[in-house]
Amino acid sequence: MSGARAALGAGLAAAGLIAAGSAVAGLDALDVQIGKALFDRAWVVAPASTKADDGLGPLFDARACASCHPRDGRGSIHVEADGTLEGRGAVLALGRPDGSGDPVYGRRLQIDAVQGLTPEGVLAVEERVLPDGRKARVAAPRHLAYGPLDPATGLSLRAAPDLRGRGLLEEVPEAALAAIAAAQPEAVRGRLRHVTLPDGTKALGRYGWKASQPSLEAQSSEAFFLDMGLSTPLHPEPWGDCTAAQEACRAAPHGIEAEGQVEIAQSLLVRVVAYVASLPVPQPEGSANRKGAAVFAAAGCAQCHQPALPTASGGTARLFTDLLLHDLGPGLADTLSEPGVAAGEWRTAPLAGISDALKRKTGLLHDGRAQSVAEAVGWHGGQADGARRAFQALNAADRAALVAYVSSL
Amino acid sequence: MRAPFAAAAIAFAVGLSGPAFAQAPASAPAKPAASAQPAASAKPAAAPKARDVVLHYANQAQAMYTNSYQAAVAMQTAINAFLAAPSAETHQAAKAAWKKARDPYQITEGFRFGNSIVDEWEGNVNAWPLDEGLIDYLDKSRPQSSDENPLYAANVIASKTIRIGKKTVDVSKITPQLLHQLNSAAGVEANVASGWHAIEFLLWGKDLHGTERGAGERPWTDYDLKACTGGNCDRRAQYLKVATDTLVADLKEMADDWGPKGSARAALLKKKDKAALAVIFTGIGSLSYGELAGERMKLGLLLHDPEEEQDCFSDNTHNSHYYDEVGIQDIYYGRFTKIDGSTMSGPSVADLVRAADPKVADEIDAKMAAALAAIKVIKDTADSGEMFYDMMLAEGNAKGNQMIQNGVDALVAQAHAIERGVAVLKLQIKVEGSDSLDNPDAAKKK
Ligand code: HEC
Ligand code: HEC
Repeated sequence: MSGARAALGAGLAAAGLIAAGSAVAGLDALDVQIGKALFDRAWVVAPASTKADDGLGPLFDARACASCHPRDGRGSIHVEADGTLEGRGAVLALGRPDGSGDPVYGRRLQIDAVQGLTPEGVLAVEERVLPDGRKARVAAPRHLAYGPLDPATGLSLRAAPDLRGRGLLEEVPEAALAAIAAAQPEAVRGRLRHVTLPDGTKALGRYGWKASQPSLEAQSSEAFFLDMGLSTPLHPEPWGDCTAAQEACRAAPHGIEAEGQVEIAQSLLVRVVAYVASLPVPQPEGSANRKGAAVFAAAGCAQCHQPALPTASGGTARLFTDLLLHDLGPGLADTLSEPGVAAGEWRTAPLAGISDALKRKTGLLHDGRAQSVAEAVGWHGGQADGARRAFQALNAADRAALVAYVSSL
Repeated sequence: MRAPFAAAAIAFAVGLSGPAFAQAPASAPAKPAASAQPAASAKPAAAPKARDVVLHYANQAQAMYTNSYQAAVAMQTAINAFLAAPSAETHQAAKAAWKKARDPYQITEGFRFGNSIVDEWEGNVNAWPLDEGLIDYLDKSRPQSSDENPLYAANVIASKTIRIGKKTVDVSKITPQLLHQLNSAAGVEANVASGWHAIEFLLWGKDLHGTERGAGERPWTDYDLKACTGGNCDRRAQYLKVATDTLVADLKEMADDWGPKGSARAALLKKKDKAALAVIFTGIGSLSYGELAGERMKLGLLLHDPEEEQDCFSDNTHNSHYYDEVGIQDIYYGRFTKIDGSTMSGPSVADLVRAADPKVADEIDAKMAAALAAIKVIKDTADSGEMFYDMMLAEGNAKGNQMIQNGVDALVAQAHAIERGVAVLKLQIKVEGSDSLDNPDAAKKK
């Protein structure tokens, strides 16, 4: 990036018009456009005529990035009367305490498969009634096609987040985040999560509900691999998430024609990443709501949902997160343990784009259980318990102002 | 299938008072346009009314889709004749009819972006890439495929049911509803089962030649009920018939959508003048830039993938690209030639640009002429039999790669020129992909 370009990008980022991370080295706007086409593209099953497009599956959750992140936005979680989930937009992550996946099902419960192969199961949820009467959502998959899950396997139902502006999360210097953590009062202090990369080195986790991926590239690569069954340079196995126990799946046709090839070449991956990085931060709706913003800060929400984070290029990421893990208590905990992360720990969810989620009724929180801002706050326990109590103690006018403010983001 | 343009289109505001425009003398005499654009050069510099331009655009859309529909009806007649009496000759005639009907469709593609009704409909008609394994057998000679492998046998033509996610779909009766359902059963989830490329695949079969010479070589006997090759000839024939009927009906629907009481026309005419003009530019700008230059041409070049070409079974891509460009210009200049040779023309956005800033109008004329010329090189090279589009894409084919790159560059330049046209009319548009994305000054500079 030339100095002038960098300055321009930063200026626009400051104005909130465009993500500063949009200019990926060596790629131009047409590449970004190609990235968009690849993001929207429904991949097909091998062997198809379109060699570069095939290799989907054998097991998969969706054919396109866009099916879970519709219009780059958040996926909806719709629960039908019988408890099964309709549509795409959520995944069921599986894992054991040592970090491995289920011995048979792997790290995802894939709900779709190429013709001739049976999908792993159907996503469904049950309600767990808490002592105080609130109903927590619990993943309860049905029609498990390859036998029972391992007793040690934990489950985590996760919504596909809004991607707009999220490229900026990569641009926030680690030191700035550490400073924010240090400045947080003891009772709400979050922590940075460091994840181990395939090469053994450590990096700051920034993406996903539990900050388990360090970069857009790693996150996208995992999505191609786990959710669509397409191999990438970071995940070269062509069979995606089929385990050794799933023989027919491993033996199914795939899109690799020569040793060392992957289904999604680096040249494609970088363009998809450049596209995601180019998505501008969603702009708050309506006119500025100073009162709501003030109440938001006074209630302690802004401690975690930081309205703006600094970026390395001198801009700001107005996403309403601190990128830190916070323990929100047992009400939000699920049964999946990732090494080094407690079941109740979550990355502060960025609130930018929430107006769109509310409009489309996607559901809020990691598993889509809350239907409104107030309901989402109601689930804030643990380190956010103080903020929740402050919220619930607000007079009607202040509370309305706060809800209107958050709902406009 | 692609997400509707409006969703992910990147909004940017034009209306820049860049130096390029500031310098243009307001009173410059209208220069005659390049000879390739007789419609433009014939026009005086006085601007037509914006409303008249919009109305003419709607009329032209109706006429162009009607034209495409009529061409498809001729194809349908040929396909019905083939199915009634399969032979090498009737098969050949059906394939020729597909190619002939394809061009009149391609010239309508500039209507797609900007008009959400068209964009939503497009998935049933022209979606790409095609999951042809869902429709029919692929390649029985492919080494790792065995006839026992159930994954190769599971296709609509050979099966009674197909599973999509948790739903099992009954495909025992092939109907237009079924094909649409397969396309849209679960949004982007579904496979592409209908439209131009499904028919193309059913007529030609998979092109097994890679980047070598040759198109798909499906034998006509795949439709011979007496000595059937490939199995299930009756189902295949039924599929081809239904897919063809469905396409014809879909084209008729779009022609009607632009008719006097049509929803696409109504949606456009409801808009204020500037917003309606913006739709016109959005369509041609998006097709020129993100769609044709980006997804359809540069991506293929990047991958050197022989089948990263739209009309991959028939090796007709050179024509589909060329007629896309013809359509862009037809819409810009407000004129077009019907399959019966008659022409139509009327007030256009080109007239508005010329009246507002002749210099910018000249530039657009020049860039459009250059884009058409660059793609014509590709078309002529393919038509002459020297090399087809899939061969041009091949890694190491410097000459072919360069031809495609020249096409990409010319289309990008054309898109930038169109952006300047937008700017002189002080419109706000959403173009799919544009330098303005990460460098809003780009439109001013070039
Ligand atoms: C099957 C649904 C699904 C598909 C397909 C999918 N995603 Fe996601 N995506 C998710 C879910 C669920 C998460 C949250 C993951 C987590 O917390 O572990 C996510 C998270 C992300 C994030 C991180 C967002 C954040 O705020 O941290 C990015 C970036 C992303 N996805 C990009 C992509 C790209 C690019 C593709 C296509 C290559 C893709 N996704 C395909 C479901 C999906
Ligand atoms: C201690 C840190 C912390 C504080 C304080 C806090 N939050 Fe949160 N918030 C989180 C975390 C972590 C999540 C994600 C939890 C999950 O999805 O399981 C979250 C999620 C949310 C969500 C749902 C976002 C989504 O994308 O689904 C909303 C809305 C929200 N918070 C609003 C608030 C408001 C309003 C306040 C102040 C009353 C507040 N939060 C205070 C940490 C905090």
